[in-house]
Amino acid sequence: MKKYPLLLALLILSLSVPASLRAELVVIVHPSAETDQLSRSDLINIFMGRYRKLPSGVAALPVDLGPLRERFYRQLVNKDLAEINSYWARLVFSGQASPPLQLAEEKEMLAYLRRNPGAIGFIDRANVPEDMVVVLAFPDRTPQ
Amino acid sequence: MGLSLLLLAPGATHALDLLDGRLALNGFGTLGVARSTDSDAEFIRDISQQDGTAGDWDGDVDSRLGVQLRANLTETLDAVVQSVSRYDHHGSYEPKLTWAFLRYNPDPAVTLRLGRVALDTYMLADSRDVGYSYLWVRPPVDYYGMRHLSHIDGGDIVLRRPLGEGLLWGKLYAGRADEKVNSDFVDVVLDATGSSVYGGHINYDIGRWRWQLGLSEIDYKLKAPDEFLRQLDLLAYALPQLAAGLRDAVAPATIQMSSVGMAYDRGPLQVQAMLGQLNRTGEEADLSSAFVTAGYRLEPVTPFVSLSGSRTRGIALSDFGIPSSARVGLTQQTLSLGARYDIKRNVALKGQVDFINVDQAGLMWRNIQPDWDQDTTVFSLALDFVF
Repeated sequence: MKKYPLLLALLILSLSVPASLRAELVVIVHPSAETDQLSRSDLINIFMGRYRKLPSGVAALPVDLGPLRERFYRQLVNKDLAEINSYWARLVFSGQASPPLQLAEEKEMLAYLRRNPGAIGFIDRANVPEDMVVVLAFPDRTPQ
Repeated sequence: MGLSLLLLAPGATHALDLLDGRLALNGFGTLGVARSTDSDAEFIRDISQQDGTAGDWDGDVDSRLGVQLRANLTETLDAVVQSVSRYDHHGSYEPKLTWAFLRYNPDPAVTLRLGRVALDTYMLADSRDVGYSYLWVRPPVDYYGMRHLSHIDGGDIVLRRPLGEGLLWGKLYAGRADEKVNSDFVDVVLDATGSSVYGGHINYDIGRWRWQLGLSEIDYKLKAPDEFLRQLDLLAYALPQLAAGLRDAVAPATIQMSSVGMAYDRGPLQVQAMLGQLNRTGEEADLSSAFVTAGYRLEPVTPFVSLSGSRTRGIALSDFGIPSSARVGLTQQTLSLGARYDIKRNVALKGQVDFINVDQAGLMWRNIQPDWDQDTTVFSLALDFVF
């Protein structure tokens, strides 16, 4: 291992990081959304309230899952929650747009996605149910 | 009250969701103090304020509280009512109804609002009371201070469409103003009610960039108190040119406004820059203004620096028959340094120092003393919150 100090360091690091932080975040929709892929800019438009339409033409209904919210926005736009809340304060109090629906539990979110065509949420890849479509997976790094 | 609600708030943005999410109550506020170093002129945040700080700590310049109630009526229709209390032209905190509209979203590409809607002649103008949404203690006074109209009774429409990698969107609005503005004369409040406002802006959001070009026109009607007009009649005997000039200042006028705005956002770095032009009859009073702000987030603190200025050619006092070589208008520049500290969820503490250099004070200062050296430093602290 002496030849690969970086590899060793990464290995040790990955073992010491809790599994919940290592898991890959993916964005999912129900098949009724008729969408199998989204670009990062589509996703920014939808979750940041700029343009909430899926490429299929269906209106997008974004859902924030409380426990993963911080990681999601870090991956999506490299911002912490204070900045995201500050962004929404501007849009909400100028009467322009409303933030994504806030849900606390994965079960609730999945039920919402099944009920509402166009609903879109994020989840750990390990927990994606069979009846959901992954439309975007985040590479395991923070965007610049 | 706001603060205690806020500390109980469990949600990310919604403090109170009633009736199964159909009704939402939100609010924002600022507790701020500002102190200028100069007792010879009072620093104000915008021309709607009666008075400001002159060498003393003043809690009125920046403190404010807003409450919003939103009702989801159907999937495509909601109603928003918002009220804001801030130090005003009478020196009171009487709450004003700033928005009250129906919002219709028949499609994600279209939003129609009818009623009392926010007026965003300039980028960010419709959120300037929401301290939590920006880095500064207050939006640059050189740029936003003269623009006192916050809303119109009428409507607006937003259309959006993806273009290339970005999003193209535009807004058109029209309506009537209903706000009052303080003049620099004691007890003289001018009423802009009935002025018509129309205009629009076009935006392109692409990646980290946002660009905006805005144009608007105001058919400005300022109603001055009868007592003031009577005094002008008296003044006309002594200084006819000055009386005529003051009468002109409150006569109906058409004002054209144009602006270009840019925002750049890359992870922790954010930069905003805007240029604005306000033209009215007689080019001596045409106002150009600009600012640029850059902030860099070092969690949880975001230091920022901001430069702003406004320029008019100014009207020579000699034109009013006053024996002076000075000109009246608004020409000043400000360097601001500050930082925002996100203490906890939905609460931010800010500190800011403004170094202001004034050439023509316009209406942006109150109670100016003759020996004012026109250089003033303002220290400000603010606690901003949302719930």
